[in-house]
This record gives sequence, C-alpha cells and structure tokens, in this order.
Amino acid sequence: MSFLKNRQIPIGITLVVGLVMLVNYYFGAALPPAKSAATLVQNWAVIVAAFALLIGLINISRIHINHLLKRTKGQWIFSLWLLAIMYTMIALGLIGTTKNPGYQWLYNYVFLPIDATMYASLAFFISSAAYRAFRARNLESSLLLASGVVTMLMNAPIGEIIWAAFPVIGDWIMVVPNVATMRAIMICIVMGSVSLGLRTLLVMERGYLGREE
Amino acid sequence: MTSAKEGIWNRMQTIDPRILYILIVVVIILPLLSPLALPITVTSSTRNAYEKIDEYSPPGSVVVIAYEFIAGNWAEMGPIAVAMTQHLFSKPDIRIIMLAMGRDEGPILVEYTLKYVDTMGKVYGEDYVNLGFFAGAESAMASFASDIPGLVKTDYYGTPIEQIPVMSGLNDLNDVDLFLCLWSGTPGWGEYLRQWQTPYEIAVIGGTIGINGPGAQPYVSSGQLKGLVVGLRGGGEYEKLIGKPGEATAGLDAVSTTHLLIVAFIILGNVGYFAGGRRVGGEA
Repeated sequence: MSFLKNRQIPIGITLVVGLVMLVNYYFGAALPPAKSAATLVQNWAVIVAAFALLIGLINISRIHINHLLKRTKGQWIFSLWLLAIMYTMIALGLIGTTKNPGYQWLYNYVFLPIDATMYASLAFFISSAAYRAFRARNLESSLLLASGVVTMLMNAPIGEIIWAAFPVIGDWIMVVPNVATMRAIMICIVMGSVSLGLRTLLVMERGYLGREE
Repeated sequence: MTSAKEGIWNRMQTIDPRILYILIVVVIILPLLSPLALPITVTSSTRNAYEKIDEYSPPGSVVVIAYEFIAGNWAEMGPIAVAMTQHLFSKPDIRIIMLAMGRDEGPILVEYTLKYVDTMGKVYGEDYVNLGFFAGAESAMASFASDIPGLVKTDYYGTPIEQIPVMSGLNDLNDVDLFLCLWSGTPGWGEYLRQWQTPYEIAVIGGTIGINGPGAQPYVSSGQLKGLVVGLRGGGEYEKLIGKPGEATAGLDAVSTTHLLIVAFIILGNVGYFAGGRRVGGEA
C-alpha cells in the first residue's frame, strides 16, 4: 500500500480541485463545463465531510477506550462518562431519529442548560478581567478603558438613563473607529489567505498533508 | 511599611474576585426575580434589520434562515432567533426554508425556536420546512447555492423533497429572495459571505452574539449585510418591534445591573490606582 503514502496523489487532487473551483468562481457563468465540474466537486465534498464525522467518532472512541483500558489516573472516569453519554445520544438518535422523546429530553434538559452554563460562566472571568485590566495607566489604556465603559453602557438600557449620549457615542465607536480597524484587519487576513491559497496551489505549502516521515 | 491609607488604595485595586463573582450572581438574580422594567430604546441597527425584512419578504418571496449557533449561545441567540423567525412567520404568503450547514445542532435549535413561535396558520411542508443539517460547511453552502435539488434529497424528518411543496421550483440561490443568517461563530457569516452573498448578491440580514458584533459591522457599512441584530440587547429591541416581549426583554434588566456593577468596580480600581500613587498592589 505504499502508493497511499505517495504525497503526489493528494497534491494532484488539491491542484485539480483548487483550479476547478478557481476557474468556476471567476468564469463559471461563461464556462458551463467548469460550473458543472465545480458543482460535482462540491457535492463530493459534502459526502466526504459526512464521512469525516464518522472518522471523528471512531477517533474519539479509540482515544477514550484507550484511557479506559489503561485506567489513566484522573482521566478514565471522564472517558467512561463521555463514552456512555455519547453512545446513549447516538443510540437514542438512531432509534426514531432526533425526534425520539428520550433524545429530545436529553438535549433540551441536560445538554442545552449545561452548554449554556459553560458559556455563561464567561461572565465571571470577563468581569474579573475587566476590573483588573481597565486601568488608565497611559493614553492607550485610557482610550481602551473609555471605549470599553461606553460600549458596556451603550449595550445596557440603563446606559441611556444615566446619560443620553452613551448610545450616540457608543454607536460612533462601533461605526467609525471599529469599522476602520476591522477593515484593516480583514484586508490583512485576506492578503494572507490569498498568499496561502497560491502557495498551496503551487505546492509550496504542504502543512495540510501532515508531517513528512 | 505601608500606611493604613495606602493599604486601602491597594485593597481597592486587588479585591478578591470571589467577592465580584458573588455580587454578579446577586445583581443577575435580583432583577430576574423583581424586574426593573427599564425602557428599551430601539437602536437604528435593529430597526434597520426589521425594516429590511419587511422590504425583502413581500408576498410570494422565498426566505432561507440558517441556524448556525449552538445550544450554549441560546441565552443570547435564542431571543434573536425567536423574534426574527416570528417576524417572518407573520408575513403572508412567503416560503420559509430553515437549515444549518455549519452547526449540526442547527435543526434541533430550529425545533426549539419553533416552540416559542406562533406559526400563524402556516403549514409545515407547504409554507415552511426544516431541511436539517448538511455536513461540509463551506462546501455544503457552495453546493446548495449552485444546485439545491442536487444537495437536498429529504427534509429533516426524511420526507423526500419532491413531496414537499415549499421546495418546488427552487433550483439554486437565485430563486431565494432573502437570507437570514443567525450565527455565533465559525462556520457562520464569513463562509456564507464567500459562497452566497458575494457570488449571488443575495440580500442578507444577520443576527449574532455580542462578541461578533464589532467584527460584522464593516459588512453592514458596505451593504453586504442589509441589517444586523446584535446580542441580547438586539434581541430585546426586536421583541419590542414585533410586540412580543420574551426572554431578552426579561434579561436586559440583569444586563443593566451587571454592566453597572462592572463599571463600578472599574472606577474603584482606578480610584485606588491614582490615589495610591499609580502603584498596583503595593508595587511601583
């Protein structure tokens, strides 16, 4: 099976697929065969991605079964819990799809509140971080402090009760300095992405192929 | 040896985080138990989103809603999803297609959202449909945009698409009039922007969590997003616009008290910093 280790095959697939998508994006309207080829590739990608979910399931099972078998200290009990919950959800989903009342109950009354609680716990860390970080030590940190406070009060109804100008100043911060800064960041990201895309198509970037042995 | 006065200034800068945590719990719970009913003013951004939905969903139009958020974001995204979906369900003679391509929880959250929405006589399959989740994120988006029947074979419940009247005549994204993108992370708006908005120039209105708001603002200014509803505040404003107060309206009092508490702590820390000779925790 040495041909599977041959890096030329995935590089070739990347090159062909990349070019098909690129040609379709710019000339798809004028070149119907390019459009058809791109649609075919996109439909294949959806199927491949669905299989990737299965690979993810196998991989996570393998890792945690391993922990279970080795009785990894401080880990195996969580691995057992993860596997039990994961396969319970899968079994309930397979029996009568996600409409299964058991699945719905687990999702609505266990998963949803736990997930929301994890997300909500950020409130504590963010408030603690704001208290410690927002010090007017110099001009830059003073600007950060001022814009942070104005934005916080802009987003709360009580802000405009305290001072009617909070929403106006907050809106200005969002629409003028924020937009200008975000655009600069986006342009940099796009330039980087274009560069990465070209490097990949020109086989100068091989990180996606994994480590070379 | 530090004087008692210096000790106070230092303590103002180094309050035990656990005290702050307890106070946060208190200021969140109290307004939920005893609402303050603070007035909610509708900002131009939310009003704009509301008006654009009216503008782009006249009778006979087709609207796609993507539920690209997770259960953990329900507190913030739920009210936005419920209010905007409710607004669309109040529109006469429109077709509503709900799906997810970035978050596999999307279809379940569609159902969860619909629990709070008055369908106003609309019939499943005839007026609206839940297409479920399509794996592949950006690839799935591109595939849907160019060939809907090629990608969509059944709805979320396994009904063949040929038996669902609401899907009849839909071949590609050119047949869709409005796209409502409800997202909380990646994959989300960025991917839909590349695969749907830019190539097909479809009208898009967004709804997202507070932390994404600043990042999405440039797309509102450029017109790529026709409107944007941000965070719990946006959700509360939208609930006010549709005249149906819900979770966001109830939660906004808690947002007010929490933000006030954090601002008070920030002021306290800065007073201690300056009065204590710009020293933090006793160090220069």
